[in-house]
Amino acid sequence: MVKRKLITLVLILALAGTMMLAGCGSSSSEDSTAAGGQPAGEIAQDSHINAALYWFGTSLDPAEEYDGWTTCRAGITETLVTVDKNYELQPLLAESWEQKDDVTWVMHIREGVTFHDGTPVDAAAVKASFERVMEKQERAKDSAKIKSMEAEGQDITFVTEEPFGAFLSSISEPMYSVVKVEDGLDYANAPIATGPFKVTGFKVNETIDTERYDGYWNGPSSVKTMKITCIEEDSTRGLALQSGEQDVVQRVANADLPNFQSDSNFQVVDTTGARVRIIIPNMQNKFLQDVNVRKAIADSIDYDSLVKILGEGVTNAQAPFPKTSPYGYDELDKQAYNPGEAAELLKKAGFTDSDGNGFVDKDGEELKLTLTYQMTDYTSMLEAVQSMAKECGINIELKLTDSIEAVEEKKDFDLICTNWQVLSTGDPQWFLENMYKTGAQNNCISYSNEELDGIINQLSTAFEPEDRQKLTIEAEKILLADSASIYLVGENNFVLANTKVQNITPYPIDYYFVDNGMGISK
Amino acid sequence: MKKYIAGRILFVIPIMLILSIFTFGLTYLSPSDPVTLYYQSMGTKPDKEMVERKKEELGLNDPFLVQYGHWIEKVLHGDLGESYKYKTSVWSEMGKRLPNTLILTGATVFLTILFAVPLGILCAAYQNSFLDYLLRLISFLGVSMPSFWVGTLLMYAFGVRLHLLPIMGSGDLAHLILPAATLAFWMTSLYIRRLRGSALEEMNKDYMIGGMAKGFSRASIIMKQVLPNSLLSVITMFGLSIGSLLGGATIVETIFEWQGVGKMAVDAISLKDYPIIQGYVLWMAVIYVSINLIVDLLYQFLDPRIRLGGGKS
Repeated sequence: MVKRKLITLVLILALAGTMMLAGCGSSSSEDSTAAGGQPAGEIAQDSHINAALYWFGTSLDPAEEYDGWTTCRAGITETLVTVDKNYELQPLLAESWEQKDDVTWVMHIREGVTFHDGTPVDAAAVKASFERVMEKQERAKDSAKIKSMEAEGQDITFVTEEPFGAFLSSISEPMYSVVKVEDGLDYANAPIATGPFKVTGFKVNETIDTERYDGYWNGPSSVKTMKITCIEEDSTRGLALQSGEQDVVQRVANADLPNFQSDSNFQVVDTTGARVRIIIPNMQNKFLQDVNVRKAIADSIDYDSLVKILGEGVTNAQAPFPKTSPYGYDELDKQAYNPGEAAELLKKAGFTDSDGNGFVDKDGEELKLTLTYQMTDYTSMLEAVQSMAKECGINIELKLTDSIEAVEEKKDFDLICTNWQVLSTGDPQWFLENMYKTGAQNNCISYSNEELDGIINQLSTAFEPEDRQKLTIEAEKILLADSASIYLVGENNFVLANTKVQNITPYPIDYYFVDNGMGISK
Repeated sequence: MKKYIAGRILFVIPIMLILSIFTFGLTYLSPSDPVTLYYQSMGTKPDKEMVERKKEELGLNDPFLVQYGHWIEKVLHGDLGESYKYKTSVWSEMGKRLPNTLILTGATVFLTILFAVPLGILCAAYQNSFLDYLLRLISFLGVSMPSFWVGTLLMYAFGVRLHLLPIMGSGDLAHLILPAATLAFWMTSLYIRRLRGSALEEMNKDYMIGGMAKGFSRASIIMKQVLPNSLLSVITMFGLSIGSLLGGATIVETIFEWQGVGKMAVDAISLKDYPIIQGYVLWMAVIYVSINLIVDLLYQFLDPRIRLGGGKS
């Protein structure tokens, strides 16, 4: 009797399960036929957006660590100038600027800008904010090289310690966000700033609640409230978007991208980011001292295949700066797959496969190089590089380390694979100066080229964007001719959203995300 | 008895000391430093001078024994230090996270007991029946499937497809269900198998035949004799399971963004946030020592054969 009842129960459960699965199936077919596609239509007023970021700092004070990145992403704080989607500097809180001499910049603060509490922003307020960050933040002490400031009405005068061509772009770093400075303010939880959204609640590592600031200088947003959630796990962020819990998210797992791209219920807004994965050769290595060997390695790599292996998240690099930047990507003699030339170059360098084992050698010593890396997600990419090099007779051994910094410090490597934000704050000088200038602190490969050093020095005194572009392209040509690094792939920035979200700007620098244009369709 | 309990509690002190030296030593020996790791986690190349200044400020350039000495000195004053990442005291960070872990543990244990005890016994009572095979299959799947996979499936089914439950976050009951179910699925499966095994063992004992010969029904013997006896044999293991849950179910906490101590510990390990790691290790030591003590004491009440001080045998 009991047995029969149990069997009935099991059958009911099984039936329920089948019905549930059938339910899933039908909802899936509904999804695929649902109207979607590219966003269009009118923007709803007073809407609400749920957005997810992959990282929060521990406070909302832009002067702390990298917390300004979060306030900038959330549209809470703004800087004097900003970098647009074409890596060009644009005025933000500073309406215009004038360079008086090599070290003096006068910036005119836009009239009508107010803090979230309604008080007007003048030069004195900007000065106080800059003084505060320079006192609190290690990075701010020297990154913009500010020596002194003077405020008068809406004009603030910056004097730099030395001629510094990247001054304007360096103050676009979110730590220089302008916040109201006054005793007793709770900067960590509710900074009073100038962005389109003001903070109404903050839970460390969990959520930021914001509300539209109606007095925003560039016109109030159509969105009334926003809840910004921190979801660190890539796949969870993707699921939260799929479930409708989130309307718009920054980045998902690369493997999940095709699902979103093929689903008409979602939009994927992507752009080539400013982060490039690079292999750097140790110039002190006896093989790598020879430019022919370095060039042969660069020629042995099939860059298009690398992009295919890695899937949607990356794009071709082959040059120091991304193709979307204004630094002459198309006119450069870029690194390219050319196994024939690689063989020639190796021969020129005196390498032949004398013992017939598939790897070239010289004076009885095989061309064997260790490639050290730290990021485990680089493994598949580097295994491909390894097998491509093998095709050309170069023996590359992969070595995983848990501290690339320690390896760099000891110069205990042949090749290193790492990544660099090559256009930090949209400008190339920082990368060129730190990575390639003779004796620079991050120049762990002991690279030295007098001509390049000269160009980097000239960048400091080149203030016009055109001059900076020209110099940068010259620098790139030298780096490519020297094969000073191998520029594998560039990482893309992704914003994913449901189709109701409108006007998502694809920013190549990923600390920009929410702006006052973002809205929800009716 | 009191002396015994006091002894066991005091025993935690040397354990904590040894554990803390070990963890301090291991994290100290690995090559990278917390300051560099913190900046790396932001995706930036830290300025070397800045890293040096910061390391000096945090005392990370001191020799191992000096660093450890400073830490012990503070701990003896009740100060577990300040987290490098959160910039708050370890006490307050643990205080914020522990309630979440306790809630998740409580819910998981509740679900496990609710399902594993009756189902395990049912499997034994109806050995080799369809139900037994079915439950064995399900529990086999349950113990074999990794929790991140079960968790993702549940998120997909109940969040993305059915829109019944929130996918992530912590706070209210709705947020609790999926992570608790993920953990409970594994634990329930495990204990169904354990209980079935120990119940079958009990049912082969003579008292079963004796009871039936005296005219007791099979069901009543199973409920009154077999069940308590088979529970006895899984108590130690159950204690350890609770211990591991209280240490935070790292993977489940991470995928569900549940703000518990497990996620905190993993974040701390990846950033070498020494004060948090040490605080966590101490917490784990306290948990395991207390759970073992509780389990031992429970046995004394439940099983007269091992009662301390010589019970009647």
